[in-house]
Amino acid sequence: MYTKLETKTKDCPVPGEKTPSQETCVCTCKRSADKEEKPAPAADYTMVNMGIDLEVNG
Amino acid sequence: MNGTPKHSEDTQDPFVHVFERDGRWFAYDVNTSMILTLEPVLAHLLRNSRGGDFSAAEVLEAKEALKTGQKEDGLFLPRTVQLIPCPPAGPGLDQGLRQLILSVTERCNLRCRYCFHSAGREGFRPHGDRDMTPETAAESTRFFLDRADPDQAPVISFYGGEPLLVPEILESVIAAVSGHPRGPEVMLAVDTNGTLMDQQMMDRILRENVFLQVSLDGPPEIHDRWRGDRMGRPTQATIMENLDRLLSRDPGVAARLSFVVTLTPESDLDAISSFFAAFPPFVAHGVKETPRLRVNVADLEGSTSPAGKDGWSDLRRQLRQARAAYLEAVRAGERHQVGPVFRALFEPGIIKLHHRSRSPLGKVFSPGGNCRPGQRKLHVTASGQFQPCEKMGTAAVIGSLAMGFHRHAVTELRRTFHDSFVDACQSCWAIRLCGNCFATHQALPAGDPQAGNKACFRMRKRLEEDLGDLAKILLMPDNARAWLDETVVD
Repeated sequence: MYTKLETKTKDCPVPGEKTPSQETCVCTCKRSADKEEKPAPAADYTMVNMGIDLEVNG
Repeated sequence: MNGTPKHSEDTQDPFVHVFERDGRWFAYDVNTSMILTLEPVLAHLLRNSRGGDFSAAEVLEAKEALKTGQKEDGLFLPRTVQLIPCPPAGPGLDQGLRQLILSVTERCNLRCRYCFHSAGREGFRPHGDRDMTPETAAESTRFFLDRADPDQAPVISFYGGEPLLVPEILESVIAAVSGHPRGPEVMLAVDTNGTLMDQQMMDRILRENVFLQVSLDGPPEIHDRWRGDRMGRPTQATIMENLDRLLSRDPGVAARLSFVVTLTPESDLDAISSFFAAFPPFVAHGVKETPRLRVNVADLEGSTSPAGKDGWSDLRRQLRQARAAYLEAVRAGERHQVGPVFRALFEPGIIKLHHRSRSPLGKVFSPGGNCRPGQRKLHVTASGQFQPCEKMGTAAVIGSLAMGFHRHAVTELRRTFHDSFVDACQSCWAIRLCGNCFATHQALPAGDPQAGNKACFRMRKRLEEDLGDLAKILLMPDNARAWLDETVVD
């Protein structure tokens, strides 16, 4: 009648890290990309609401 | 229909969001943060829907499954969480900062028609003539580095206006960074329109390993329609020439380049996609990777946009087609083949949801997206005032270089935000996923009492689309979805 699409996760990306909502993160993502040099977080001139948000203008 | 699925009115409704996507039913269970597939009869039961052609036996079976889910899996339970304001700013207020954004000038040499600094909108900083002094920039840098998160590389971003109009600020910050113990770890990033890169600036960019985020909307016929200079003259050719000169000196700089692409009603998504898939400056200099992109849709509130509703509906149609093409490519294990624009459009939302917290909701929760004013990110205006981020217009001053953080102002900002949104959050399934933040609140048009509701509606709509995308990918074979686990949370 229902099926869970994800299994419960086991590890933290950064063990013990608190998410912004103060929940303990239990995500299993591998942090392989952390070893790469990542571009700096960006500021933005044009958008207030990020993402695909056409209703704002429609 | 022998049995209308409707569960008993004396039970509290399950705290779930049920939605249909391409003929399948899904649920997001808020208490557990689980995504589920549902049989149609259970979906109808959870939605308290009328209609549907289900037998009494099917409805009974669905009710049993619901009870089993509650008892054995902790699913479908009612909402019990209490919403509370974001906790008062504690001792961590001025520790653990990760990014400093310096608005180094209010001036800009361009007049992009969708830029909200040009639009004269209430609450947004207009273009002005003020520059940050080199002393303010250096002091801000030291203030930030003294309080930067010891476990993260500190990031200093240059914002404006157009930051390359004041190259001396970059020099001032570089000097302050080099004199600080955290200096070797610092990443410098410039948000630029890409039109002002002279030889000296390129020397700095290469010498200091500066990251550049360049606003570039695509081929000239698309870019120049919106991004002209003060006289309305085109700018795309200048940017491409500058990128060509920069890459000719060191093709390796491509790894530190990213681009902000802004879609507008008249955008031709295929043309933009083709342009970045075979990005001319990268191709010319043998760079094999495709450029890193961030794709936005312009917020034209208050602008003098010539676009009518037809333009938006055409862009919506293009985005629907792009989404279908992207998901089909993922299914075929060919997501890299769809090009960077389609990936930048859809993957950030999917990846964020995949890496969402999946711990139980708990008894209390503070809505408000990811932002915690006074923590992580610090925006310093040209005059040295502190704000939570660069999108806060002229409001929400939470300190100054002279006085440091104003603890009371931070607490007051958090309380105001909570008071504004808490009623809407009380009944909302999206509280754990919501990205509406202090800047969203600040940007709500004055005089429209429904503006907040519209912002919430848009957020829920977008989240449902992303949840649907994620659910569809999770239903794909292992080899089509393994990449999700390799991604990281920004």
